[in-house]
Amino acid sequence: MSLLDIANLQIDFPTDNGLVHAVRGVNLNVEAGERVAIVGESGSGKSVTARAILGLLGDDCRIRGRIMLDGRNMVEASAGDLAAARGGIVGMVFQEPLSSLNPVYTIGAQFRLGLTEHGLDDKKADELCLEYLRKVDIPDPETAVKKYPMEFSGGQIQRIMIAMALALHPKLIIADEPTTALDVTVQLEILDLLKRQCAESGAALLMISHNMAVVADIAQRVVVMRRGSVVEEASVEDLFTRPRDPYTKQLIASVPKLEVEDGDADSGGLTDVDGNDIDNDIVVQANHINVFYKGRRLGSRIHSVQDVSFEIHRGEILGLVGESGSGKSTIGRALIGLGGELEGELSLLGTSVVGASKREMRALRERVGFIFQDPGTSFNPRRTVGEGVAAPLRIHRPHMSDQEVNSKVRTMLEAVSLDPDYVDRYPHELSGGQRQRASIARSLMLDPELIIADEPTSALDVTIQAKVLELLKQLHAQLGFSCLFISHDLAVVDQMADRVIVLHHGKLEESGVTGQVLHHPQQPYTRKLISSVLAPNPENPQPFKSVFA
Amino acid sequence: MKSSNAKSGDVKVAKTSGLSGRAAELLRYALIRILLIIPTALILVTLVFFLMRLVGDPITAALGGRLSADKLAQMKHAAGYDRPVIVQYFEYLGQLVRGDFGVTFSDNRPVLDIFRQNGTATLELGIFAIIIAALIGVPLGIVAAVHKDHWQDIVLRVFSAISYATPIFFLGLVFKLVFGSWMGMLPISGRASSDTALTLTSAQGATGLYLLDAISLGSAPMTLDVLRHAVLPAVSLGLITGGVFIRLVRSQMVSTLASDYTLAGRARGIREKTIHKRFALRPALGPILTVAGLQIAMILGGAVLTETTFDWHGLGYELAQYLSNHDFTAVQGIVVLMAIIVSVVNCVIDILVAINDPRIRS
Repeated sequence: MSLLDIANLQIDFPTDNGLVHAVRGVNLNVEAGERVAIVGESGSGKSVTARAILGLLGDDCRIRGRIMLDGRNMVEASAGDLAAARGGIVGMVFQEPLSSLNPVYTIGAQFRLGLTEHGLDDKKADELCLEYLRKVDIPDPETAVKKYPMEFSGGQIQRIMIAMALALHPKLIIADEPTTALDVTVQLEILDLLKRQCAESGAALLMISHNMAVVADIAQRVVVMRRGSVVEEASVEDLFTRPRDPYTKQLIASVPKLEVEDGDADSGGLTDVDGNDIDNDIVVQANHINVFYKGRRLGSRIHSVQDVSFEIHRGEILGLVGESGSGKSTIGRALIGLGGELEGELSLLGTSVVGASKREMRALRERVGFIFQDPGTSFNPRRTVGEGVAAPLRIHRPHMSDQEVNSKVRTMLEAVSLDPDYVDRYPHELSGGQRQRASIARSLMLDPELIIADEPTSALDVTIQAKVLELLKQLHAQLGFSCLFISHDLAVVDQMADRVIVLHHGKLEESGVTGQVLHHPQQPYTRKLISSVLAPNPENPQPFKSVFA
Repeated sequence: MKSSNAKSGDVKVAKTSGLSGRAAELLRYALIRILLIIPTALILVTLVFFLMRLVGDPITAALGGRLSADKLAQMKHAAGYDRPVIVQYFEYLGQLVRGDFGVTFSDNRPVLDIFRQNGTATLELGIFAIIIAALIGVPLGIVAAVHKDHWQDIVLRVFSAISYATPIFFLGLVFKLVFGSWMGMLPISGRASSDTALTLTSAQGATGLYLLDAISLGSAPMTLDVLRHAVLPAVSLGLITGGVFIRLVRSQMVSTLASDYTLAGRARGIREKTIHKRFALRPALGPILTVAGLQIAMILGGAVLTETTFDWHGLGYELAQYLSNHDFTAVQGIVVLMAIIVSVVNCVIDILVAINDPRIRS
């Protein structure tokens, strides 16, 4: 008998617009000690399926079918059985490290609470807590238990979550996107830890992920879900070498890859441009810029960007790569005079940004388009998409007639492959990918000379990301704008940028032609960053690791 | 952005490791809060002073129209009210610093005495009311949040809307009518029967809080008498405040119950009972405490109506009396005192919030 056997699972949620069928007849099993991954994009029903196993979906949903966990049907389980299974038979790790621990309890107190609820006494619970914190390599566990969640980094919180999940010797660990919110270098450590701990304790692992590369790295068997149904199930080798379902093929093909072969590495757009033109046609010139933010304490300053120099040539896409806290978004904002205090020399389109008057800045911003990360919040929810996209025209071209504005908006929506009739819709009626297309249209309204794209696709599903990146490339070829492309994802930058600069803790680590930097990195940090990138290839999920190990 | 917070967390680990660092952090926070009372109180005092002077000087207010203009001017000169307002203001500030809140105009009573005798009455009523409000608001708020959008929640929403929309004097009158006059169960005015009140005020080392004094005298009949008198005013005031508490606790709990950490807690096997009583309640407490502090201020002010309705001789009752006598010195003194009490209460609440939530104090 399987440890977990899900048969014909159907889950419906009542909403204002009728029933939503989140899961439609899923079959899935996990054997003892096995590592299985459910992969799918948002709305595929993967997380809902995982949460149903422990009855974590709340009272409003309708569940039919069977979830046999260790011999008990969890769909009909009593409150007592559920409580015993949660933490006892199944340990769970969630996505968002910064919100998955209660902010007002110390680590020790909430660790203990989970154990005493399972009948352990305080002393035994505290012993287990220390033992498992040690196991997941939390330094100095005796002090750590007295600290609050806010005092730990995201990676450390995920370690603590794993320790909590393991403490009662569960037979199954469910990890729901455990590394999605982490930097790549940390992601690798957490995946290793999960694999190691499951092997050591003999627990099976059910991994929920949207990331094909993560799946290739960790799973033995993969279940692909789409719109509530399983579309394909196979061993990890078979899935990546011989995918059967077209959707699986599309998923695998959509993953941006770092090209391993470097013989004919594309040396970027610079070779296409006449050498003499480059120097004369610089759109952005940053010389030793520093950006400071106000600290918490009165008078203190945080040195966010430290002595960074770079330039962007006309028509070029410059990739700006770094992990969270590297200062990459700060640079993007500094270019248009937003954010902290700027020192150094920074000129944008021939005008100095340092010490520019409000009026000069306004004139400059007219010539720059901005694409933000989160398409969900970058549009005013109370205005139609048409009004949102037209906003730059209304501000900078107040004399244009409604008719002219309207026709320009419709043309731009067409240019980004959106139905022009979407002008009358509200942002929430569009999908994430559609909203991001609309925000690209908005950024192009004033025919900008420079586009600043800050993580434009990191909130999107991979298949959508691939399409949006393709669109950006195509528009770039047509319109010839320059672009500062900010991203944490090396593979995406590899695909988009002519040249790249790598930022680490606010300092410039390395810069150069994209192919050169990514294939012959000179700095240890760049090497570490590149070797942390997983590829969707189960035989060698880390293509660069062997090179630098 | 999110993990950049985490990064700064890393730095903090080094700085404040260990408990002594945390205690020092809390102490620093508390000290700053306490020091902030001074500018807050100063602004309040200034506002009250100039608003009162805008209307006129105390002597004209009390006696204007009853005395000849000559006589008035003479009295104003004697009391110093004919000097520039700014001089009077600084003189008043100087008095306050020395702890002198002035003497009432109508009955020549030190304002501080009003506070000693009537302030304790208001304090006692306020404490009773807050306890009742919390007893009603917190459990019912939790019930409403747990059963969000179900009948329990809907009933409680209607109940709380009605309770805080009802004017206190109306509710008080209804209570007096039903429980006092018709059913004759409870006394409808005063803090105690007259003989009890006499014994309690003249007792050695009386605190002015009748319940405390009656208990320390060891007299069961007197304790009961005090409690019976407190029921109607405390319940009227507490019910109305409780309605606000229900809404507040509900909205805070709805968000903590839906949070990621509550989901993760449930997944670790923490039972619903523990989640409702502790795990999801404690992170919800911050905003609840903050608004509770504002409610205490409301009760101090709102008690004017409750106290006059129930003939409860507290600060509000006195304030109403002095107002109708046009005694500006007394009114100004009482209002200034109330303002200072409110800022002290808010300071205490801020410190409590910081003790509850480590994120506030760093």
